[in-house]
Formats: sequence, C-alpha cells, structure tokens
Amino acid sequence: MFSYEDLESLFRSLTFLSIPLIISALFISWKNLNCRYLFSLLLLIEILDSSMYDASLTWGHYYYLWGMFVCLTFIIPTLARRLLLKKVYHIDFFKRIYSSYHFGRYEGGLLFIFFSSFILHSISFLEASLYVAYIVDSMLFIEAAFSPVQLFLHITAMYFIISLSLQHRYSDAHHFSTSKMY
Amino acid sequence: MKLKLRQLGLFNGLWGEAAKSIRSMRKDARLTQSQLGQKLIPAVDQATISNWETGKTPVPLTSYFLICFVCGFSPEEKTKQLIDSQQPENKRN
Repeated sequence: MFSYEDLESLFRSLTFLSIPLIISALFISWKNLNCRYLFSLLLLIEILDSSMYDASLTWGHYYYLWGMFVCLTFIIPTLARRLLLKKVYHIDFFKRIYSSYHFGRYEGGLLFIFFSSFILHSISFLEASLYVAYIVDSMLFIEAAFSPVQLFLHITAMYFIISLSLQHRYSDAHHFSTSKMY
Repeated sequence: MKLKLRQLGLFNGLWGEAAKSIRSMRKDARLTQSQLGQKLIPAVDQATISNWETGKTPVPLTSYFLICFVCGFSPEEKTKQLIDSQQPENKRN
C-alpha cells in the first residue's frame, strides 16, 4: 500500500511542515506579545535548522551531534527568553513583552519534546560513534527507533504549537504571569 | 576565570528560570503542589515542590523533565470535568 518512496516523501514533508506551521501560529496569536515573541524565536531557529538540513546529512555520524546542538538552541530560548528580554529591556517593545511574559503548560510540553529529542540524538550519536569505531556491528537503535520516535516528537511539537496559538488567539490576557512576581 | 564565572551566571540564570517556570506551568495546568508532587516519579511532597518553586533547593533535571511532561500533557479543563463527572458512575458499576 505504501511504498518506501511514499513514506520517505511523507517524512520529508512532515520535516519541512514546521516552518509554515509556526508562521500560521504566529499570525493566529499575533495579538499576544508573549506568543509573538516565542514563535518568532522558534521560527528563526527552525529556519536555521532547515537551511542546514541538507548539509548536515553529509556530516556522517556528526549529524546527530548537530541535532543535539539544535535541540539545545530550541531549549535555551524557550526556557530563558525572559533573561534575553532583560538584556534589551530599554527598548519599549521588549519592555511590553517582559510585562506580559507568561510561561504556560504548553511551553513546558514543548520543553519536554526538545529534551526528549536531545536525549534521542545523544543515544543515536553514541551508537553511531561506536559503529564508526567498529566497536558494534550494527546501529539497531538508529535503524529501528530513531525515525519513528523523532516523527512522533515532531507531530507532538506541532500539536503544542497549534494549541498554544489557539489558546492565545484573541487577546493578551493570561492566567498567571511570572513577571508580576519578580 | 571571568569566562567561567560568566558561564556560572548563565547556568544559575537558567536554573532560576526553570524554578520560576514550575509555578506558572503548575497553575496553568490547574494542579496543586501536592497533586503535582504525587504525579512525579519518585513522588515528592508539597514542601519539596514549594522549595523548588521558590528556588530554595535546586530542582533536579530529571524532575524538571517530568514536571514539563506532567504539566504539558495534563488534560484540558473540559476533559478533566468530563472525567470527574463520569467517575461516580464507574464506581457504581
């Protein structure tokens, strides 16, 4: 029913679906400054990752090391974007974003996805390094688990992005703000 | 030496942000501190969650990982109400 080429094209299209999805989420939740800031950061990192995709495939087992680095670049802005705002607090636009800063459960879900992807890439890099060094004869984890798990994480991340944008599509209101506490 | 101190500052900054995010994630997921603590593996008490949120004790990385999972994948308010409304019927059966 599904040939190898059909599945490969499906995986490839899902890989590059992230950018249009984040752009859509950005427009849906445009009124919310916090979401606008988060999705802009994610879009920048996603563009960087997609632009390096073809090149990274030629790096052999260092592709997984690159994947670990990209996961970290997703984690740090998602978690520490308030710290980044502090650096540019003198600009009025970022001051408004800082005052409406909110870290909700969907951001937490995204962090979990990025952490999981980081662990997945770490295990794959370790296995690939062992294979390249002729310590192991096959890459069982990479062949059997890497693609399906990464696909699942990708789809789950898309779910969180859409959920977050729909939650904040109407106004700038939010349930709880950490900026009011500190 | 200066670079190491700066890196330590960034590390402490990230950990501080993680601690602050726990409370806002928990509130957004409509969980109390004790409810969140019970859902973790291993389960922790309300005081531990409170210490993590205020930054008195650093939250372990694996626990923060699990907190993100629990809060991120917690059901929506309407689904929770639906499950709660169906529970007495299940007990009767």
